[in-house]
Amino acid sequence: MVVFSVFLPLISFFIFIFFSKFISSNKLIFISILNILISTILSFFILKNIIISPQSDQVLLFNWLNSGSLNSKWFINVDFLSFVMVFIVNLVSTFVQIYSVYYMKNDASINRFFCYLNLFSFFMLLLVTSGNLLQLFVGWEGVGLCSYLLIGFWYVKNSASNAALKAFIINRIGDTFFIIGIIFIYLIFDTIFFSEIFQKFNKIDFNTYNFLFFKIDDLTIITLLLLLGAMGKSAQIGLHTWLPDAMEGPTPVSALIHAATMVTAGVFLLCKMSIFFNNSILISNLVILIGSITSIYAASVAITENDIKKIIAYSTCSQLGFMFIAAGFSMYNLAIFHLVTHAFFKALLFLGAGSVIHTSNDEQNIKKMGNLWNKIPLTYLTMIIGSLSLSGIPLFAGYYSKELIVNSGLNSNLLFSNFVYFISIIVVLLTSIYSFRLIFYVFHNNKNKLKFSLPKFNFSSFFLFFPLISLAFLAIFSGYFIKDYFITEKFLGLWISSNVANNISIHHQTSFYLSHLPTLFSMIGILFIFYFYFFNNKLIIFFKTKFKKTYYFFCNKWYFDYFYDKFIVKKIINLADNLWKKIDIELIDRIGPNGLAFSTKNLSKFFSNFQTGYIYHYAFSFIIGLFLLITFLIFFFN
Amino acid sequence: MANIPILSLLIFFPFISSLIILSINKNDQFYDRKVKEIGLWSSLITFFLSLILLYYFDTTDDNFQFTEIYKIIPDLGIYYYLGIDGISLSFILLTTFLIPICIIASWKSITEHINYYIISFLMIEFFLIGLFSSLDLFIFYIFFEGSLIPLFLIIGIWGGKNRIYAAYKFFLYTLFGSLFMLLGILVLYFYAGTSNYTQLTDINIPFNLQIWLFLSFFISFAIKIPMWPFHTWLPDAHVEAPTSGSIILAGILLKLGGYGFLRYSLPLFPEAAIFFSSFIYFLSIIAILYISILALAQQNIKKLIAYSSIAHMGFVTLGIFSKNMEGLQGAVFQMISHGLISSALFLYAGLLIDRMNTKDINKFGGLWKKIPYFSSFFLVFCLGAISFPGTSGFISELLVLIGAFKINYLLCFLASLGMVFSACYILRMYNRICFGVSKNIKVLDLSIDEICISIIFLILILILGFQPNSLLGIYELSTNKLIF
Repeated sequence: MVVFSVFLPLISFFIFIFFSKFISSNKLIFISILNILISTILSFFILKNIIISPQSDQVLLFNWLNSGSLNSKWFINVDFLSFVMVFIVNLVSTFVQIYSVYYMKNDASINRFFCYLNLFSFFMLLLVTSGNLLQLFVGWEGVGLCSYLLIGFWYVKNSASNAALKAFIINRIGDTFFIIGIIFIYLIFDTIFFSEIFQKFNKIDFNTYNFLFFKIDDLTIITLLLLLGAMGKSAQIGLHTWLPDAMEGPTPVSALIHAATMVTAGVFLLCKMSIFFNNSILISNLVILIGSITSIYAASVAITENDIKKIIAYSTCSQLGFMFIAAGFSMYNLAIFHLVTHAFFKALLFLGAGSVIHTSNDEQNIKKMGNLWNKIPLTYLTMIIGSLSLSGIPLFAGYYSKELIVNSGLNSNLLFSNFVYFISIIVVLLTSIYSFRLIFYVFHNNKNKLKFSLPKFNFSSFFLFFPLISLAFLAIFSGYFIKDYFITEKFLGLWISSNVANNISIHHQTSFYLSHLPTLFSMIGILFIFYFYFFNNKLIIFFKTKFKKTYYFFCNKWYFDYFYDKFIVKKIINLADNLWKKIDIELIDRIGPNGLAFSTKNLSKFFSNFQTGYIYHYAFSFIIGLFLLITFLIFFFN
Repeated sequence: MANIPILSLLIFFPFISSLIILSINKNDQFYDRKVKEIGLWSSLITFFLSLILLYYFDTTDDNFQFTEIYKIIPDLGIYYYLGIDGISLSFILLTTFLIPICIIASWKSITEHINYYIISFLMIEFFLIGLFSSLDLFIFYIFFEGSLIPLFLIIGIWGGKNRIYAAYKFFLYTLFGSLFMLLGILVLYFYAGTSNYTQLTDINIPFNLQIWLFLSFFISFAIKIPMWPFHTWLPDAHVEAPTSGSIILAGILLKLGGYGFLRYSLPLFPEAAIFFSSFIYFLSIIAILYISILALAQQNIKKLIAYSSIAHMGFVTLGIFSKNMEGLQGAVFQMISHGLISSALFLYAGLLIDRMNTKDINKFGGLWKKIPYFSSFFLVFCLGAISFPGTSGFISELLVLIGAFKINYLLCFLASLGMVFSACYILRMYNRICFGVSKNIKVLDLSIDEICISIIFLILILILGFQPNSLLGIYELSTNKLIF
């Protein structure tokens, strides 16, 4: 059962590879959806069993690599943390696959699309269930590959192909840090199995070095490497530039990979390796700093962005920052809780955006849209639900996780906790502003006359409505119904059995008014945008002109892409060209083989000059030679 | 099995087959076809013979096996001495596997002097198997030098426009190095009084002499691998060589240097190897980083893959001279894995060049739409080249990185940058070739036999990626002997 819940998507993948010539595409898609549905149901029951009796179990698959003490077996790790993720991945995959039938129905290569989707689901499941670091790394790079393939799905567009390449390379940078971290862990712990690492952790004495003014030990370095790996995958500041560009992929892909699952792999890693982060104060501070800077960066860019998908992408980036903050405050359960609710409402927003894009004939600029609310009322309603959930309005799912994360800044002992609290309150405000700015422009702004192609009600509407309605339900109710498993002490055993080192006791210590500050701010944000766009249009222009520099700064995404392109990419390309032409061709070849050949030729020319053929030349040189020889003899032997 | 001289049989079988090819009547109507078939069948039989070798090879014994020893010049202590251990067996298998593929790959593309072409490949096989199984320095030297000649001819006769320059460059470079090695071999022989490998390993050579001998061997092997700054012959040779020439060059000839280090430099001159190892780390890191950056500037598909080969070989030298278990195992694994992956890449580059008549990666574009099978297989081979987990490339680079980390973490960090760069240049190439707008040309997708070859490569790369122990087990004991 456990094996099937992970391997069914792989089976679908192989069915698509081998049988796409023989079976019609409709049947194949039906099989694929059926498979992912079965594995969702299986994972639900496994999760239920784990909750009833907290346990950590392992199912051996096969022996992988043995070299000396490096011993790596593939097995499926059955514990709460893993199977929460398995369930979420399977569930969102199911919705996205159903939705893709609607979204991709006119695409000629729909088979290829489903093939990649299944491969992705498999790698993601492998990532979250792996029992050792190397197996995790396989899934880690595997989801990166699928992301590359799916971003580049419409490869004819140059922008898509470039975005795919960018995503893969930036992920690879993070992955490289991660693999060095794995090697470091292996050399210190002499094992790569999670269970053994956690057991040995307290017995290890880490070496300490003095680095500038800090005392740095091996633990800090390892944790830093893991953090850098997680930052690459979770698009945190510095390594985030691939995520907005990744929106070139089809919208279902954005919902599944770039909102609900793959990008949260970094957060998952932080939780999985929580014991390392918990024991390194320096890195914990770094994690909350990175998380908060990412969230404010992404939120500030999102309020000036005009592409509907990019707004949601930046919002994802910002929410991932929140998850990092939670993990930095050692509240891994909260990070996973936010991950789960975020998966629902963000997938919902993306699928809704997909519906909007289809309706407005593939237009993605929100400034060109408008007045859609009475044309696609269901999408309108679900997007509002998603946005409310994202803003953290009470009773919606996002409220439960987000409020706690923001407030955790008040109760922490970490150096930057107050700063982080301040930032996250601002981010909460910005979040509701950009979400409802999007809603306003897309659904209400009636200045524009864009051509619509309204969806007709027919059989394929089901594939649109079912995922939207189900996800809307989850975006409303999931928070209330599952919060106990994540934040109450009753279920702490679940987390302990999955080796997550939580810091659970710090919730609910703040005063009533203070703890509801985030909610207040997000309400203010909504009212703010409501007032701006419905009653006082000039205020926006006033802001834009008054804070022109800031506005452009946000518009240009804080100049990250500009900086990377100008100072890193172009420099390396130039360097490559120069090195090749100057050193390889000019220097080595000229001095090396060509030089040798050339000088041999010249030398032989020089010597052939002696062979003139005139007798007096020979006679002359003979006499000179004789003269020199005699002189030599006289000098030395006299 | 003890009585059959199976190694000699394996070595001389391709030689005898090439004699048979020479003896066929040239006026025959189906002469070309006959020649190709004889070549293919004899190389396949050699492959099966090597599988027999694998079957009877005892992986629990760390001595040389299947040994054969005959005295050639008894008074001078020169022997015809053969024997293999796990490392040589791995390389023999790689050789016998790649030669039939080379012959199939040139089935249609080579039309002139087909008989000499096939003979060249059989002769390469003869020299290479001899080289990998010889345990006498002089015999080794003869085979080592001999393997140069057929490839020189292959590039020089059947190569591209600039073939003469490339062939001479290749020949001069390698000959230049080999002469130093010959000098070293002679000095070693006069010092020890024997050229027998097993006797030589028991002799303690004074440190000063070791250094000079190490250097003389080093120049030769470093040019073969090739290490920076002796690498400039390789891109030219690859660009001009016909497809199967590139396959054999990248697949096996580059590995002779690494094999030489493992077989001769480390066991015979251990102290010198320690003395020079920092220097070699330095060269390896340059090979990985500098060459990777150069690969970013390449527009010629074959040149790009050639540069990527040099960068991957940097991992080999790094692994060998880290002299710990992971490093050595990873280095051998990298050589075998790179032998498969780069051969597949060159094969595919050849298929592309034959179909589109250009080598410029900017002039392809949008091939996924036109030739999906080709693009899918090509993707997997590219993933192998960027050491994607699940392919053999990942195992080898992981092991080498662990080995490097044990020496110095900075070394590991710098080498791992090679993984980032390889993703940049390989996927950049892949994007230019398979993604984008397709040109308005008719291109044929893979034929059945091409698909078969691709599947064989694919399966081998994946098997080594998922069951690396199957290969590690063969040579584990042999590399463990080299740890110090």
